[in-house]
Amino acid sequence: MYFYRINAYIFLQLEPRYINSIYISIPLNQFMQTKLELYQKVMPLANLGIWERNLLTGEMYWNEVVRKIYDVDEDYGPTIEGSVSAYVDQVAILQLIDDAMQSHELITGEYQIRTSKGQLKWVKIRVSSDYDGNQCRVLYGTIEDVTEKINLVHKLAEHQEQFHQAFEWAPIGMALVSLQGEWLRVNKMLCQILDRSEQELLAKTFQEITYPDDLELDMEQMHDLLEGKISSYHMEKRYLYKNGAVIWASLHVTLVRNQDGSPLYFISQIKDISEQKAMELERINTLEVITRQNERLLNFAHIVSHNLRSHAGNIQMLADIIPKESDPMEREEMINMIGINAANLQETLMHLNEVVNVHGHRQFNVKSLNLSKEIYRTIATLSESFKQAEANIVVQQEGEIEINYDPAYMESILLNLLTNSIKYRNPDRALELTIRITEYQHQIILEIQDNGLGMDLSLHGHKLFGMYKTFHGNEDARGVGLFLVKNQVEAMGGKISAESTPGVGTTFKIEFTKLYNEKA
Amino acid sequence: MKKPEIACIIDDDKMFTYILSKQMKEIDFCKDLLVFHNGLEAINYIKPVLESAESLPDVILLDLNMPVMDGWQFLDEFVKLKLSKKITLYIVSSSIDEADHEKALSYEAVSHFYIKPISKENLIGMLEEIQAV
Repeated sequence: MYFYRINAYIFLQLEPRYINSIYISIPLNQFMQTKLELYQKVMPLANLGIWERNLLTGEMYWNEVVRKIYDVDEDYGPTIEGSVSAYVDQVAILQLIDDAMQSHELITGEYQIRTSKGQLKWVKIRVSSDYDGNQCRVLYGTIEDVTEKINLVHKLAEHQEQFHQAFEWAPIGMALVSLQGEWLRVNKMLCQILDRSEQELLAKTFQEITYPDDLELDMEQMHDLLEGKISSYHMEKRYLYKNGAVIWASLHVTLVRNQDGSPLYFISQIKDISEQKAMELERINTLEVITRQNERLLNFAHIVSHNLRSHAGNIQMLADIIPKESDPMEREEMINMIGINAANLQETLMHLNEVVNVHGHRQFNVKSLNLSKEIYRTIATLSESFKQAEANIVVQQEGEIEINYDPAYMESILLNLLTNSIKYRNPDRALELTIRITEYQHQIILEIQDNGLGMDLSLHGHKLFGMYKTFHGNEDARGVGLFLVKNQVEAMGGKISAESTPGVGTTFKIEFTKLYNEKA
Repeated sequence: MKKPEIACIIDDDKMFTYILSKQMKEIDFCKDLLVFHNGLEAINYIKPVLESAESLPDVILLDLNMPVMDGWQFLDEFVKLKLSKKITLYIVSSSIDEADHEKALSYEAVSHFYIKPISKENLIGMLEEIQAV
């Protein structure tokens, strides 16, 4: 016969109603005894401490694992006070015991203890209770050293918090993106960059807010990343604001895979580079302006070299031969010629001055002009010439188009182009003139199409807008008009081009910049 | 070779062609003088008379900057012609652009590049060169 005696002590802190229970000893049969032995052998293997406390007798039992956890000797007589006092948070452990006695259920908790040797440990406690009627008779349970696990959990939590903080407050936009492109998590900076709230972003895919032209390259690289062809990718791309405006970003994407290598989600890092892009664009624009100015300068040097020199040369040659001329009639004729040459020289200088003025004056007298009204006024000015040319003029436009422009330049541009259509008309047919005004994005486009002589631009195209370049051999062609027009158009941020077919006609196209005012 | 029978000026500056022809006359540069005001006029004259050497000029004084067909376009047409006699060709231009000079002299047909104004000495130089050939 074997008696399993339970060491029990009265738990003084407990309320009196739990204390008047009966002491029992449990007789165990042979089978149970074997089981108990097995039990006592196995528990240490599992590092599981078991304990029991009899609330009536105050007796308490610990197995050797419990002693090890508390760092006490084999002969240590466990007391409830002793064990409770080991807990760092004694109120909490007493609460646990109290709960266990009242709830009739298994209660668990994890607590920190200070062992008899002063070591801090985390323990997991399971407490159950036996009842005699309403009265709690016995408390029993397990205790387990979970220090390593808890430390690990704490460390993990710490790392998670570090990641969270780093992610949330990173100075660049960061996001976890699903394999389908949904935003799974986004940080504050990303919300700021894309000008959307977290909820707004999480409801979208990155595809939905990518500038359409940049989507294909992004998707291609994303595909390569999924297939393992590349380990990450970087690109400059555009996203769309809610209002459709474009934002430039530098995107860096990596892929997170699970242990067996299947893809989980993307980590995207997104930097706002709109400012850089704007500067880059500005640089390109500046370069273009400088290149154009350089071209003009070269052209100007050429004009000075060629046109001024030819007049000066003639004068010099005349001066050389006049003294040798014996015929007084011829002499007088030559002296006349010097006068004509001087006048030509003067005229050339005047033209050059006009050109210099176009580029010298940065302050334009900009006014809001109704483009079609300006056109009709120019047509009226030239009405006599148009009548002689039996001109049929059609003006096409979509609504009234206003443009901010220098009125003097507009007049010069229209007058020159319309005069050209008269000068170089085909004498064999009536002049057909079609003037089209269209608006396209930030531009107003003016096209003037005639059915005149036309010209072979493969021969003359490169010098069509050059100074003193004439093509038709007309007596009144001075080669100044188109040169001036080009300079005036470009000075105000526009462009001029021409298409022409000999015998069919010519179309001049001017792209006016609507934003001229904002730029200036 | 003796002095040229026919000289030809291709230049749109009528003032210049007038003065130049005066100077040529003074030094008895040639027997006959042809004046064209652009390249096309000159080509239109030359093409039909390619076979008759007596109608072709012996020397051409060619300006570069002209309407309709300029000096460069004329040169490109000229070098394609199958000439029945040697024609000496001079560029006479007011261009002082190095690039123009280099480009002109890259044509085998171009003997010399004269910058306007043209002096009597220039014309005598041309004559000597033609007669030396």
